[in-house]
Amino acid sequence: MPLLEIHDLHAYYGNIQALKGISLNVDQGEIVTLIGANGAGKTTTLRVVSGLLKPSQGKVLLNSQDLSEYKAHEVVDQGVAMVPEGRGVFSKLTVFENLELGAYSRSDKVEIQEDIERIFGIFPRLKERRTQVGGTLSGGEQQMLSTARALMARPSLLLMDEPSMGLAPVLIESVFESLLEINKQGTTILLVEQNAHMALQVASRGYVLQTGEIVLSDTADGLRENEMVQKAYLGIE
Amino acid sequence: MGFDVSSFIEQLINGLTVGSFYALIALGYSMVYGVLTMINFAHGEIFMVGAYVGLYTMNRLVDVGLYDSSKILAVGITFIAGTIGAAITGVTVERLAYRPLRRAARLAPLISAIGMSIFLQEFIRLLPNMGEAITSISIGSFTLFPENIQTAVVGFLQEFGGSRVKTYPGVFGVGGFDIGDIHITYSRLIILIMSVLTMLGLYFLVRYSRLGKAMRAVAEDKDIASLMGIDIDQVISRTFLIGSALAGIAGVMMGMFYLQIRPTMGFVPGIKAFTAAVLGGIGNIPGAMLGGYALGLGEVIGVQFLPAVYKDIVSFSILVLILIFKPTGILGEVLAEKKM
Repeated sequence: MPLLEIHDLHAYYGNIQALKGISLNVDQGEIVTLIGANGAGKTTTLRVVSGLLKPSQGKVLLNSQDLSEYKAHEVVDQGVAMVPEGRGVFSKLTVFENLELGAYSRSDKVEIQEDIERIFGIFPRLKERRTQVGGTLSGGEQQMLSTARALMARPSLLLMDEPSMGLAPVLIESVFESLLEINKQGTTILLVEQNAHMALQVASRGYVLQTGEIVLSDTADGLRENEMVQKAYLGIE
Repeated sequence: MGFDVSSFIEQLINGLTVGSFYALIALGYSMVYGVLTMINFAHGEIFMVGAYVGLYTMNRLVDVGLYDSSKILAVGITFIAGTIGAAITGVTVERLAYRPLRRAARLAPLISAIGMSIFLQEFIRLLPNMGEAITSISIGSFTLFPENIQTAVVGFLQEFGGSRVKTYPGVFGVGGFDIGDIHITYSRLIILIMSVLTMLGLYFLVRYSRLGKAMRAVAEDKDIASLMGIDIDQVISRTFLIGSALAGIAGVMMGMFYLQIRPTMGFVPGIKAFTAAVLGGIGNIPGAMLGGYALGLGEVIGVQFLPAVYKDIVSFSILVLILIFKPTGILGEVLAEKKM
Protein backbone atom coordinates (compact mmCIF):
# COMPACT_ATOMS: atom_id res chain seq x y z
CA MET A 1 0.00 0.00 0.00
CA PRO A 2 1.46 3.39 -0.97
CA LEU A 3 2.52 5.64 1.89
CA LEU A 4 3.14 8.59 -0.40
CA GLU A 5 1.30 9.23 -3.64
CA ILE A 6 2.01 12.16 -5.90
CA HIS A 7 -0.52 12.84 -8.65
CA ASP A 8 0.09 15.14 -11.60
CA LEU A 9 2.08 17.68 -9.66
CA HIS A 10 2.79 21.09 -11.19
CA ALA A 11 4.89 23.74 -9.48
CA TYR A 12 6.35 27.10 -10.38
CA TYR A 13 9.12 29.37 -9.16
CA GLY A 14 7.72 32.71 -10.27
CA ASN A 15 7.16 32.24 -13.98
CA ILE A 16 9.41 29.26 -14.35
CA GLN A 17 7.66 25.92 -14.34
CA ALA A 18 9.79 23.54 -12.31
CA LEU A 19 7.42 20.56 -12.29
CA LYS A 20 5.28 19.68 -15.30
CA GLY A 21 2.89 17.09 -13.94
CA ILE A 22 4.84 14.40 -12.19
CA SER A 23 3.30 11.32 -10.57
CA LEU A 24 5.03 8.84 -8.36
CA ASN A 25 4.43 6.72 -5.31
CA VAL A 26 6.43 5.33 -2.44
CA ASP A 27 5.25 2.21 -0.63
CA GLN A 28 5.49 1.64 3.08
CA GLY A 29 8.98 0.44 4.01
CA GLU A 30 10.62 1.22 0.68
CA ILE A 31 13.62 3.28 -0.30
CA VAL A 32 12.74 5.04 -3.52
CA THR A 33 15.17 7.30 -5.32
CA LEU A 34 14.60 10.23 -7.61
CA ILE A 35 17.58 10.79 -9.86
CA GLY A 36 18.25 13.47 -12.41
CA ALA A 37 20.55 16.28 -13.39
CA ASN A 38 20.81 19.72 -11.83
CA GLY A 39 17.60 21.66 -12.31
CA ALA A 40 15.53 18.61 -13.21
CA GLY A 41 13.08 19.34 -10.39
CA LYS A 42 14.25 16.89 -7.72
CA THR A 43 14.57 19.42 -4.92
CA THR A 44 11.35 21.11 -6.02
CA THR A 45 9.52 17.81 -5.63
CA LEU A 46 10.76 17.47 -2.06
CA ARG A 47 9.93 21.11 -1.30
CA VAL A 48 6.36 20.54 -2.42
CA VAL A 49 5.98 17.32 -0.42
CA SER A 50 7.36 19.01 2.70
CA GLY A 51 5.03 21.97 2.32
CA LEU A 52 7.71 24.60 1.65
CA LEU A 53 6.34 25.21 -1.84
CA LYS A 54 2.69 25.20 -2.81
CA PRO A 55 1.92 23.25 -5.98
CA SER A 56 -0.09 25.03 -8.67
CA GLN A 57 -1.87 21.80 -9.50
CA GLY A 58 -1.89 18.19 -8.40
CA LYS A 59 -2.03 16.25 -5.17
CA VAL A 60 0.34 14.98 -2.54
CA LEU A 61 -1.24 12.16 -0.55
CA LEU A 62 0.21 10.68 2.60
CA ASN A 63 -1.76 7.63 3.73
CA SER A 64 -4.46 8.85 1.30
CA GLN A 65 -4.65 12.21 3.07
CA ASP A 66 -4.03 15.30 0.95
CA LEU A 67 -1.05 17.31 2.19
CA SER A 68 -0.96 19.94 -0.52
CA GLU A 69 -2.86 22.53 1.52
CA TYR A 70 -0.76 22.00 4.64
CA LYS A 71 1.93 24.38 5.79
CA ALA A 72 5.42 22.99 6.27
CA HIS A 73 5.14 22.72 10.07
CA GLU A 74 1.83 20.88 9.76
CA VAL A 75 3.35 18.39 7.31
CA VAL A 76 5.90 17.53 10.02
CA ASP A 77 3.04 16.74 12.38
CA GLN A 78 1.74 14.28 9.78
CA GLY A 79 4.99 12.30 9.99
CA VAL A 80 7.15 13.65 7.19
CA ALA A 81 10.67 14.86 7.99
CA MET A 82 13.27 16.22 5.64
CA VAL A 83 17.05 16.28 5.48
CA PRO A 84 17.38 19.38 3.32
CA GLU A 85 19.87 20.10 0.58
CA GLY A 86 23.05 21.51 2.07
CA ARG A 87 22.00 19.87 5.39
CA GLY A 88 20.45 23.00 6.91
CA VAL A 89 22.11 22.60 10.29
CA PHE A 90 21.43 25.59 12.56
CA SER A 91 24.96 26.92 12.71
CA LYS A 92 24.48 29.08 15.82
CA LEU A 93 22.67 26.42 17.83
CA THR A 94 24.46 23.60 19.58
CA VAL A 95 24.33 20.01 18.36
CA PHE A 96 22.07 19.20 21.29
CA GLU A 97 19.71 22.10 20.53
CA ASN A 98 19.58 21.08 16.88
CA LEU A 99 18.44 17.63 17.97
CA GLU A 100 15.90 19.06 20.40
CA LEU A 101 14.43 21.18 17.62
CA GLY A 102 14.13 18.07 15.48
CA ALA A 103 11.65 16.84 18.09
CA TYR A 104 9.79 20.17 18.21
CA SER A 105 6.54 18.59 17.06
CA ARG A 106 6.64 16.06 19.90
CA SER A 107 5.75 16.60 23.53
CA ASP A 108 6.90 13.34 25.15
CA LYS A 109 9.90 14.73 27.03
CA VAL A 110 11.16 11.46 28.43
CA GLU A 111 11.10 9.67 25.11
CA ILE A 112 12.78 12.63 23.41
CA GLN A 113 15.68 12.30 25.85
CA GLU A 114 15.81 8.55 25.18
CA ASP A 115 15.88 9.17 21.43
CA ILE A 116 18.71 11.66 21.81
CA GLU A 117 20.67 9.09 23.84
CA ARG A 118 19.95 6.45 21.19
CA ILE A 119 21.19 8.80 18.47
CA PHE A 120 24.33 9.50 20.47
CA GLY A 121 24.82 5.74 20.55
CA ILE A 122 24.58 5.51 16.76
CA PHE A 123 26.65 8.67 16.15
CA PRO A 124 29.21 8.95 18.96
CA ARG A 125 30.76 11.92 17.15
CA LEU A 126 27.63 13.94 17.81
CA LYS A 127 27.79 13.06 21.48
CA GLU A 128 31.36 14.31 21.69
CA ARG A 129 30.31 17.56 20.07
CA ARG A 130 26.94 17.98 21.79
CA THR A 131 27.74 21.41 23.23
CA GLN A 132 29.45 22.71 20.09
CA VAL A 133 27.49 24.95 17.74
CA GLY A 134 26.49 23.44 14.42
CA GLY A 135 28.62 25.80 12.37
CA THR A 136 31.82 24.29 13.77
CA LEU A 137 31.07 20.75 12.56
CA SER A 138 32.67 19.21 9.48
CA GLY A 139 30.54 18.43 6.44
CA GLY A 140 30.23 14.77 7.38
CA GLU A 141 29.27 15.59 10.95
CA GLN A 142 26.70 18.09 9.71
CA GLN A 143 25.20 15.39 7.52
CA MET A 144 24.99 13.08 10.55
CA LEU A 145 23.38 15.84 12.57
CA SER A 146 20.90 16.75 9.89
CA THR A 147 19.86 13.11 9.48
CA ALA A 148 19.70 12.52 13.22
CA ARG A 149 17.68 15.70 13.67
CA ALA A 150 15.12 14.58 11.08
CA LEU A 151 14.81 11.22 12.86
CA MET A 152 14.01 13.03 16.10
CA ALA A 153 10.59 13.79 14.64
CA ARG A 154 10.01 9.98 14.43
CA PRO A 155 8.87 10.33 10.83
CA SER A 156 7.08 7.63 8.88
CA LEU A 157 8.49 9.17 5.71
CA LEU A 158 11.99 10.64 5.48
CA LEU A 159 12.84 12.93 2.59
CA MET A 160 16.55 13.17 1.84
CA ASP A 161 17.93 15.77 -0.50
CA GLU A 162 21.42 15.03 -1.85
CA PRO A 163 22.92 13.58 1.34
CA SER A 164 26.15 12.78 -0.53
CA MET A 165 26.75 16.30 -1.77
CA GLY A 166 30.19 17.66 -0.96
CA LEU A 167 31.28 14.63 1.07
CA ALA A 168 34.43 12.55 0.66
CA PRO A 169 33.81 9.10 -0.91
CA VAL A 170 34.45 7.25 2.35
CA LEU A 171 31.88 9.40 4.10
CA ILE A 172 29.35 8.90 1.31
CA GLU A 173 29.68 5.18 1.90
CA SER A 174 28.81 5.57 5.59
CA VAL A 175 25.92 7.95 4.85
CA PHE A 176 24.30 5.33 2.65
CA GLU A 177 24.95 2.63 5.20
CA SER A 178 23.16 4.65 7.85
CA LEU A 179 20.34 5.18 5.38
CA LEU A 180 19.88 1.45 5.00
CA GLU A 181 19.94 1.08 8.76
CA ILE A 182 17.26 3.75 9.20
CA ASN A 183 15.14 2.02 6.61
CA LYS A 184 15.57 -1.34 8.28
CA GLN A 185 14.17 0.14 11.49
CA GLY A 186 10.97 0.97 9.66
CA THR A 187 11.30 4.41 8.12
CA THR A 188 10.28 4.82 4.50
CA ILE A 189 12.71 6.95 2.50
CA LEU A 190 12.40 9.11 -0.59
CA LEU A 191 15.95 9.85 -1.68
CA VAL A 192 16.95 12.55 -4.13
CA GLU A 193 20.44 12.11 -5.51
CA GLN A 194 22.77 13.19 -8.25
CA ASN A 195 25.04 10.33 -7.30
CA ALA A 196 22.88 7.81 -9.14
CA HIS A 197 25.43 5.09 -8.67
CA MET A 198 25.09 5.09 -4.87
CA ALA A 199 21.39 5.84 -4.90
CA LEU A 200 20.57 2.84 -7.05
CA GLN A 201 22.56 0.60 -4.72
CA VAL A 202 20.39 1.35 -1.70
CA ALA A 203 17.02 1.97 -3.34
CA SER A 204 14.60 -0.70 -4.43
CA ARG A 205 12.99 1.45 -7.10
CA GLY A 206 13.72 4.72 -8.82
CA TYR A 207 12.37 7.48 -11.02
CA VAL A 208 14.35 9.53 -13.50
CA LEU A 209 13.43 13.18 -13.64
CA GLN A 210 14.26 15.38 -16.60
CA THR A 211 13.31 19.08 -16.83
CA GLY A 212 10.31 18.68 -14.61
CA GLU A 213 8.99 15.43 -16.01
CA ILE A 214 9.42 11.80 -15.09
CA VAL A 215 10.90 10.08 -18.10
CA LEU A 216 11.56 6.66 -16.65
CA SER A 217 10.59 4.52 -13.69
CA ASP A 218 11.76 1.04 -12.88
CA THR A 219 13.30 -1.14 -10.20
CA ALA A 220 16.81 -0.12 -9.18
CA ASP A 221 18.25 -3.11 -11.05
CA GLY A 222 16.24 -2.25 -14.14
CA LEU A 223 17.47 1.35 -14.07
CA ARG A 224 21.06 0.24 -13.63
CA GLU A 225 20.74 -1.88 -16.77
CA ASN A 226 19.03 0.86 -18.74
CA GLU A 227 21.21 2.28 -21.48
CA MET A 228 19.98 5.85 -21.14
CA VAL A 229 20.55 5.82 -17.37
CA GLN A 230 24.00 4.28 -17.82
CA LYS A 231 24.97 6.97 -20.30
CA ALA A 232 23.45 10.00 -18.64
CA TYR A 233 23.77 9.26 -14.92
CA LEU A 234 26.20 6.42 -14.34
CA GLY A 235 28.94 7.57 -16.71
CA ILE A 236 29.01 4.22 -18.54
CA GLU A 237 29.47 4.55 -22.29
CA MET B 1 35.76 73.78 34.70
CA GLY B 2 36.81 71.68 37.65
CA PHE B 3 36.37 67.94 37.66
CA ASP B 4 34.26 66.62 40.51
CA VAL B 5 34.63 62.87 40.99
CA SER B 6 31.50 62.30 43.03
CA SER B 7 29.30 64.24 40.65
CA PHE B 8 30.87 62.30 37.79
CA ILE B 9 29.93 59.03 39.48
CA GLU B 10 26.41 60.35 40.00
CA GLN B 11 26.34 61.12 36.31
CA LEU B 12 27.45 57.58 35.53
CA ILE B 13 24.59 56.21 37.62
CA ASN B 14 22.31 58.57 35.76
CA GLY B 15 23.72 57.15 32.53
CA LEU B 16 22.96 53.61 33.68
CA THR B 17 19.36 54.59 34.48
CA VAL B 18 18.83 56.11 31.07
CA GLY B 19 20.72 53.19 29.58
CA SER B 20 18.21 50.82 31.20
CA PHE B 21 15.39 52.46 29.26
CA TYR B 22 17.39 52.32 26.04
CA ALA B 23 18.35 48.69 26.62
CA LEU B 24 14.80 47.52 27.35
CA ILE B 25 13.46 49.24 24.25
CA ALA B 26 16.45 48.25 22.11
CA LEU B 27 15.73 44.57 22.83
CA GLY B 28 12.43 44.80 20.96
CA TYR B 29 14.11 46.29 17.91
CA SER B 30 16.79 43.66 17.95
CA MET B 31 14.52 40.67 18.53
CA VAL B 32 12.20 41.70 15.73
CA TYR B 33 15.13 42.35 13.45
CA GLY B 34 16.45 38.91 14.34
CA VAL B 35 13.35 37.05 13.17
CA LEU B 36 12.12 39.36 10.41
CA THR B 37 15.14 41.42 9.31
CA MET B 38 13.01 44.53 9.55
CA ILE B 39 13.13 47.60 11.74
CA ASN B 40 9.86 48.04 13.60
CA PHE B 41 9.71 51.80 13.58
CA ALA B 42 6.44 51.70 15.51
CA HIS B 43 8.29 50.23 18.50
CA GLY B 44 8.71 53.63 20.18
CA GLU B 45 4.93 54.09 20.01
CA ILE B 46 4.33 50.66 21.53
CA PHE B 47 6.47 51.87 24.42
CA MET B 48 4.29 55.01 24.60
CA VAL B 49 1.08 52.95 24.66
CA GLY B 50 2.55 50.98 27.58
CA ALA B 51 3.03 54.22 29.50
CA TYR B 52 -0.57 55.30 28.78
CA VAL B 53 -2.17 52.00 29.76
CA GLY B 54 -0.03 52.03 32.89
CA LEU B 55 -1.08 55.54 33.85
CA TYR B 56 -4.76 54.84 33.23
CA THR B 57 -4.54 51.76 35.43
CA MET B 58 -2.66 53.61 38.13
CA ASN B 59 -5.21 56.42 38.22
CA ARG B 60 -8.01 53.89 38.69
CA LEU B 61 -6.04 52.28 41.51
CA VAL B 62 -5.69 55.72 43.08
CA ASP B 63 -9.48 56.16 42.70
CA VAL B 64 -10.29 52.92 44.46
CA GLY B 65 -7.77 53.65 47.19
CA LEU B 66 -5.46 50.72 46.54
CA TYR B 67 -2.60 53.07 45.76
CA ASP B 68 -2.84 54.54 49.25
CA SER B 69 -3.37 51.28 51.08
CA SER B 70 -0.75 49.20 49.25
CA LYS B 71 1.58 51.13 47.07
CA ILE B 72 3.69 48.16 46.08
CA LEU B 73 0.68 46.16 44.92
CA ALA B 74 -0.64 49.15 42.96
CA VAL B 75 2.71 49.70 41.28
CA GLY B 76 2.90 45.99 40.45
CA ILE B 77 -0.55 46.00 38.87
CA THR B 78 0.38 49.13 36.92
CA PHE B 79 3.44 47.44 35.50
CA ILE B 80 1.46 44.35 34.57
CA ALA B 81 -1.24 46.42 32.86
CA GLY B 82 1.26 48.55 30.93
CA THR B 83 3.14 45.45 29.87
CA ILE B 84 0.00 43.68 28.68
CA GLY B 85 -1.24 46.81 26.90
CA ALA B 86 2.03 47.20 25.01
CA ALA B 87 2.21 43.48 24.23
CA ILE B 88 -1.31 43.43 22.76
CA THR B 89 -0.50 46.53 20.72
CA GLY B 90 2.70 44.98 19.37
CA VAL B 91 1.07 41.70 18.41
CA THR B 92 -1.82 43.53 16.74
CA VAL B 93 0.53 45.78 14.76
CA GLU B 94 2.44 42.74 13.53
CA ARG B 95 -0.72 40.91 12.56
CA LEU B 96 -2.33 43.81 10.72
CA ALA B 97 0.54 45.82 9.31
CA TYR B 98 3.51 43.48 8.83
CA ARG B 99 2.33 39.92 8.31
CA PRO B 100 0.42 40.68 5.08
CA LEU B 101 3.67 42.17 3.73
CA ARG B 102 5.87 39.21 4.69
CA ARG B 103 6.62 38.38 1.06
CA ALA B 104 6.61 41.93 -0.23
CA ALA B 105 9.69 43.95 -1.15
CA ARG B 106 11.85 44.96 1.80
CA LEU B 107 10.81 48.57 1.71
CA ALA B 108 7.10 47.80 2.12
CA PRO B 109 7.07 46.67 5.78
CA LEU B 110 9.42 49.52 6.65
CA ILE B 111 7.00 52.08 5.26
CA SER B 112 4.14 50.24 6.92
CA ALA B 113 6.05 50.52 10.21
CA ILE B 114 6.47 54.27 9.85
CA GLY B 115 2.76 54.45 9.08
CA MET B 116 1.91 52.48 12.23
CA SER B 117 4.15 54.77 14.25
CA ILE B 118 2.24 57.84 13.11
CA PHE B 119 -1.08 56.03 13.46
CA LEU B 120 -0.49 55.01 17.09
CA GLN B 121 0.67 58.49 18.05
CA GLU B 122 -2.34 60.13 16.47
CA PHE B 123 -4.67 57.46 17.79
CA ILE B 124 -3.72 58.16 21.40
CA ARG B 125 -3.71 61.91 20.80
CA LEU B 126 -7.13 62.00 19.11
CA LEU B 127 -8.92 59.35 21.20
CA PRO B 128 -11.26 61.80 22.98
CA ASN B 129 -12.03 63.59 19.71
CA MET B 130 -12.84 60.32 17.99
CA GLY B 131 -15.03 59.27 20.90
CA GLU B 132 -16.89 62.55 20.70
CA ALA B 133 -17.31 62.35 16.94
CA ILE B 134 -18.66 58.81 17.06
CA THR B 135 -20.97 59.20 20.03
CA SER B 136 -22.49 62.43 18.69
CA ILE B 137 -23.55 60.89 15.38
CA SER B 138 -27.16 61.82 14.77
CA ILE B 139 -29.64 61.04 12.04
CA GLY B 140 -31.97 64.03 11.80
CA SER B 141 -33.04 64.71 15.34
CA PHE B 142 -32.36 61.14 16.42
CA THR B 143 -29.03 60.80 18.22
CA LEU B 144 -27.46 57.37 18.18
CA PHE B 145 -26.18 57.52 21.75
CA PRO B 146 -27.96 59.11 24.69
CA GLU B 147 -26.17 62.03 26.22
CA ASN B 148 -25.10 60.24 29.39
CA ILE B 149 -23.37 57.51 27.41
CA GLN B 150 -21.68 60.14 25.28
CA THR B 151 -20.37 61.93 28.36
CA ALA B 152 -19.18 58.66 29.88
CA VAL B 153 -17.34 57.54 26.73
CA VAL B 154 -15.69 60.91 26.17
CA GLY B 155 -14.78 61.10 29.85
CA PHE B 156 -13.18 57.69 29.75
CA LEU B 157 -11.23 58.48 26.60
CA GLN B 158 -10.07 61.79 28.02
CA GLU B 159 -8.80 59.93 31.05
CA PHE B 160 -6.94 57.55 28.77
CA GLY B 161 -5.52 59.64 25.94
CA GLY B 162 -5.65 63.07 24.40
CA SER B 163 -3.17 65.65 23.25
CA ARG B 164 -2.43 67.11 26.66
CA VAL B 165 0.46 66.02 28.82
CA LYS B 166 -0.56 63.54 31.51
CA THR B 167 1.21 63.07 34.81
CA TYR B 168 2.03 59.96 36.79
CA PRO B 169 1.82 60.26 40.56
CA GLY B 170 5.28 60.53 42.13
CA VAL B 171 5.58 56.87 42.95
CA PHE B 172 9.27 56.66 43.69
CA GLY B 173 9.45 59.89 45.69
CA VAL B 174 12.62 61.90 45.75
CA GLY B 175 14.33 59.95 48.52
CA GLY B 176 17.73 58.44 48.28
CA PHE B 177 20.85 57.63 50.18
CA ASP B 178 24.47 58.75 50.26
CA ILE B 179 27.67 56.84 49.89
CA GLY B 180 30.33 59.36 50.83
CA ASP B 181 29.65 62.36 48.64
CA ILE B 182 27.67 60.37 46.15
CA HIS B 183 23.91 60.70 46.25
CA ILE B 184 21.86 57.87 44.81
CA THR B 185 18.08 58.16 44.53
CA TYR B 186 15.96 55.10 45.20
CA SER B 187 14.18 55.60 41.89
CA ARG B 188 17.36 55.10 39.88
CA LEU B 189 18.29 52.07 41.92
CA ILE B 190 14.84 50.50 41.48
CA ILE B 191 14.91 51.11 37.72
CA LEU B 192 18.37 49.65 37.43
CA ILE B 193 17.53 46.53 39.42
CA MET B 194 14.20 45.94 37.68
CA SER B 195 15.76 46.32 34.26
CA VAL B 196 18.62 43.98 34.98
CA LEU B 197 16.25 41.34 36.39
CA THR B 198 13.94 41.65 33.39
CA MET B 199 16.84 41.28 30.99
CA LEU B 200 18.23 38.30 32.85
CA GLY B 201 14.79 36.72 32.57
CA LEU B 202 14.75 37.38 28.84
CA TYR B 203 18.24 35.99 28.44
CA PHE B 204 17.30 32.72 30.10
CA LEU B 205 14.06 32.53 28.14
CA VAL B 206 15.88 32.87 24.82
CA ARG B 207 18.69 30.57 25.89
CA TYR B 208 16.81 27.70 27.45
CA SER B 209 13.10 27.70 26.69
CA ARG B 210 11.45 25.88 23.82
CA LEU B 211 10.21 29.22 22.46
CA GLY B 212 13.68 30.73 22.76
CA LYS B 213 15.22 27.93 20.75
CA ALA B 214 12.48 28.23 18.16
CA MET B 215 13.12 31.98 17.96
CA ARG B 216 16.81 31.45 17.35
CA ALA B 217 16.03 28.81 14.72
CA VAL B 218 13.59 31.14 12.94
CA ALA B 219 16.16 33.93 13.05
CA GLU B 220 18.70 31.70 11.38
CA ASP B 221 16.59 30.10 8.66
CA LYS B 222 12.79 30.20 8.41
CA ASP B 223 12.45 27.35 5.90
CA ILE B 224 14.59 24.96 7.89
CA ALA B 225 12.81 26.02 11.09
CA SER B 226 9.44 25.17 9.57
CA LEU B 227 10.82 21.76 8.58
CA MET B 228 11.35 21.17 12.33
CA GLY B 229 7.63 21.64 12.82
CA ILE B 230 7.96 25.22 14.07
CA ASP B 231 5.01 27.45 13.25
CA ILE B 232 6.88 30.49 11.94
CA ASP B 233 3.95 32.92 12.20
CA GLN B 234 3.38 31.94 15.80
CA VAL B 235 7.04 32.41 16.74
CA ILE B 236 7.15 35.82 15.04
CA SER B 237 3.98 36.84 16.84
CA ARG B 238 5.43 35.79 20.20
CA THR B 239 8.64 37.64 19.44
CA PHE B 240 6.57 40.79 19.00
CA LEU B 241 4.72 39.95 22.20
CA ILE B 242 7.91 39.69 24.26
CA GLY B 243 9.67 42.66 22.64
CA SER B 244 6.59 44.83 23.11
CA ALA B 245 6.15 43.69 26.70
CA LEU B 246 9.68 44.86 27.45
CA ALA B 247 8.88 48.21 25.83
CA GLY B 248 5.74 48.37 27.99
CA ILE B 249 7.80 47.87 31.15
CA ALA B 250 10.14 50.64 29.98
CA GLY B 251 7.16 52.88 29.22
CA VAL B 252 5.66 52.55 32.70
CA MET B 253 9.09 52.97 34.26
CA MET B 254 9.79 56.09 32.30
CA GLY B 255 6.40 57.50 33.24
CA MET B 256 7.10 56.86 36.91
CA PHE B 257 10.59 58.33 36.62
CA TYR B 258 10.00 61.46 34.51
CA LEU B 259 6.32 61.73 35.58
CA GLN B 260 5.08 63.36 32.38
CA ILE B 261 3.84 61.37 29.40
CA ARG B 262 2.60 62.58 26.03
CA PRO B 263 1.67 60.94 22.72
CA THR B 264 4.98 61.92 21.13
CA MET B 265 7.07 60.55 24.02
CA GLY B 266 8.02 57.41 22.09
CA PHE B 267 9.89 59.09 19.29
CA VAL B 268 13.19 60.15 20.83
CA PRO B 269 13.66 57.16 23.17
CA GLY B 270 12.59 54.93 20.28
CA ILE B 271 15.16 56.26 17.90
CA LYS B 272 17.84 56.27 20.58
CA ALA B 273 17.06 52.68 21.48
CA PHE B 274 17.35 51.89 17.81
CA THR B 275 20.79 53.53 17.96
CA ALA B 276 21.59 51.36 20.97
CA ALA B 277 20.49 48.24 19.09
CA VAL B 278 22.71 49.14 16.15
CA LEU B 279 25.54 49.99 18.52
CA GLY B 280 25.36 46.58 20.15
CA GLY B 281 24.84 44.75 16.88
CA ILE B 282 21.27 44.57 15.65
CA GLY B 283 19.69 41.14 15.89
CA ASN B 284 21.90 40.31 18.85
CA ILE B 285 20.14 40.20 22.22
CA PRO B 286 23.10 40.70 24.60
CA GLY B 287 24.24 43.34 22.11
CA ALA B 288 21.04 45.32 22.58
CA MET B 289 21.51 45.33 26.35
CA LEU B 290 25.15 46.32 26.05
CA GLY B 291 24.35 48.95 23.43
CA GLY B 292 21.65 50.48 25.65
CA TYR B 293 23.98 50.93 28.59
CA ALA B 294 26.86 52.05 26.37
CA LEU B 295 24.67 54.72 24.82
CA GLY B 296 23.34 55.88 28.18
CA LEU B 297 26.88 56.19 29.51
CA GLY B 298 28.12 57.75 26.28
CA GLU B 299 25.51 60.48 26.61
CA VAL B 300 26.40 61.43 30.18
CA ILE B 301 30.10 61.33 29.43
CA GLY B 302 29.52 63.45 26.35
CA VAL B 303 27.70 66.14 28.29
CA GLN B 304 30.60 66.34 30.74
CA PHE B 305 32.43 68.11 27.97
CA LEU B 306 29.55 69.68 26.09
CA PRO B 307 26.43 71.57 27.19
CA ALA B 308 23.62 69.22 28.17
CA VAL B 309 21.46 70.20 25.21
CA TYR B 310 24.01 68.45 23.00
CA LYS B 311 22.99 65.09 24.47
CA ASP B 312 20.96 64.03 21.44
CA ILE B 313 23.70 65.15 19.10
CA VAL B 314 26.11 62.87 20.95
CA SER B 315 23.75 59.89 20.54
CA PHE B 316 23.10 60.38 16.90
CA SER B 317 26.74 61.10 16.13
CA ILE B 318 27.43 57.71 17.70
CA LEU B 319 24.81 56.18 15.37
CA VAL B 320 26.35 57.75 12.27
CA LEU B 321 29.88 56.80 13.28
CA ILE B 322 28.91 53.18 13.88
CA LEU B 323 27.05 52.93 10.63
CA ILE B 324 30.13 54.22 8.82
CA PHE B 325 32.92 52.42 10.65
CA LYS B 326 31.40 49.32 12.24
CA PRO B 327 27.94 48.67 10.80
CA THR B 328 27.79 45.29 12.51
CA GLY B 329 27.98 46.91 15.96
CA ILE B 330 29.92 45.75 18.98
CA LEU B 331 28.65 42.16 19.13
CA GLY B 332 27.08 41.83 15.71
CA GLU B 333 28.34 39.56 13.04
CA VAL B 334 28.46 39.98 9.32
CA LEU B 335 24.93 39.96 8.02
CA ALA B 336 24.42 37.14 5.60
CA GLU B 337 23.15 38.22 2.21
CA LYS B 338 20.24 35.79 2.37
CA LYS B 339 18.88 37.48 5.47
CA MET B 340 18.75 40.85 3.76
